[in-house]
Amino acid sequence: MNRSAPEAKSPQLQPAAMDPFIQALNQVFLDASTLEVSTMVVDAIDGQRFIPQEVYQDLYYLREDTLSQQHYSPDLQAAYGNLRSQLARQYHTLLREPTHPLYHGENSGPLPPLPNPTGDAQDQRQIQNLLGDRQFLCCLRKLGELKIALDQRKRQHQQAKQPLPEGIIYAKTILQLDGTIANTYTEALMSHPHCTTILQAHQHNIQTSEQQWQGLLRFFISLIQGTFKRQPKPSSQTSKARPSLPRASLVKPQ
Amino acid sequence: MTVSAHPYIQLDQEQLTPPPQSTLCHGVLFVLDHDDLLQLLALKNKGQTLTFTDEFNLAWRKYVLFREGDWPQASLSFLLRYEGINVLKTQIGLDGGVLHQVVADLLPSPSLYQQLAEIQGWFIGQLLTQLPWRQRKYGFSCLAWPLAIAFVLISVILGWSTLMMQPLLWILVPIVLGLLGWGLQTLLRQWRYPLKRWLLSQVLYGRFAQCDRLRNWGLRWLHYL
Repeated sequence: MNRSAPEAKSPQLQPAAMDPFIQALNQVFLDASTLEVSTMVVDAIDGQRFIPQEVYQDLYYLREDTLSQQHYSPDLQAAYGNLRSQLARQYHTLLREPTHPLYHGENSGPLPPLPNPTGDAQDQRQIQNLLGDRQFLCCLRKLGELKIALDQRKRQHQQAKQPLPEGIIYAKTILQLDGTIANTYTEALMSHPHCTTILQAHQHNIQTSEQQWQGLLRFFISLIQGTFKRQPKPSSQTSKARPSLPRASLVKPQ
Repeated sequence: MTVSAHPYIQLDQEQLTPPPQSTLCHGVLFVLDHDDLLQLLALKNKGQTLTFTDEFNLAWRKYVLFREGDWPQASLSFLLRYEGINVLKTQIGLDGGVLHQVVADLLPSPSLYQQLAEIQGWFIGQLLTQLPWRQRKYGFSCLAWPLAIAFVLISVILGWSTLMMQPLLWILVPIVLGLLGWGLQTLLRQWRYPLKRWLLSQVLYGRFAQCDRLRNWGLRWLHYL
């Protein structure tokens, strides 16, 4: 009979050290229930690096008073203002989440505005907390890309003196684990000279995004299995199959 | 048959000074010209794959897992540069948001767009297959025979006078070497998974997570186990 060698003793894991890890894992798999694919047409991709502090500052100063001083057209002001609103909404979502470290208690009064990047120490601390939050960073990065595209459109509009073209994200598809698929297209797409190409591109993007997202999830699941699951001993395999973690599967769009 | 991923796939890394973090990865860059595009499409259609260096895989895995030293990463960025112009960009957020950017000048050439999108998708797929830690052919258990040889060699040196007086004992040397080598190999194979599990936990949230240098060390060990 083959006897397997005794396993190496692992050092005792401190429960406190695992808490943030488990919380982060929870969030990753909570987010796994929805895949949102957006297709955006831009004038140029400058490839600049994402510096969270700088992007936050740029978005913060898209306040109404700042925008009105720049004498932008109403459409452009609305577009920029919308970006800031989305950022504020994401901030408030975190403040309303009871399990989140930034939770703003119900009895603590109204939700505060976005912290000022040139504000006091409390604001600076709050910004550092925000920039350490994965969800907020994802939102910040996306809004940063939209702002870059808006800036390009603004330059074009100012040079050519033409009306600001509508829409930057021409198509968006949301796929949920329960099988719900929601497609959204801007009106500008229907009159775009390359409407067919953009739609085909978006269809391709949905398929590749689904595969890539599943690939990433599979890797994270294998990470969890590698951390918590013991390797089965060859001599002690039973006839019952070991239960394995369910694979997240998304419904393919038709 | 395989083809090297370099120079088509690069990591956009920034050297940081001062420590603790040595390099910061901002994203993945795909660099192609027209000839490269046609060559890679042919390779893809033949079912060939790309090979990546160990150093690249280490840095790529670290980029996917960690964001400025913290776990987990927020989003991954993939930029395709064709003939010196950035034409496609994909941002995969770990919140499930995927943003694809297409440069407007590419739209009048749908066939070129399709080729570039196909190659970008293939590149990302190849990168994702590099993520899981694989069982290496000459991994941890390859230490068994050098250890066995070293042990037997030291024993022979220490017992040299005895061996010279009793030549028949020399027969035992290869037998002991064989048994020791086989035993150590079995033992190290058994210990590989617990060691890997322990290392992974330390890298993600344990002692190695406190410092970038230790984390890099842990990731390197995980890669070579």
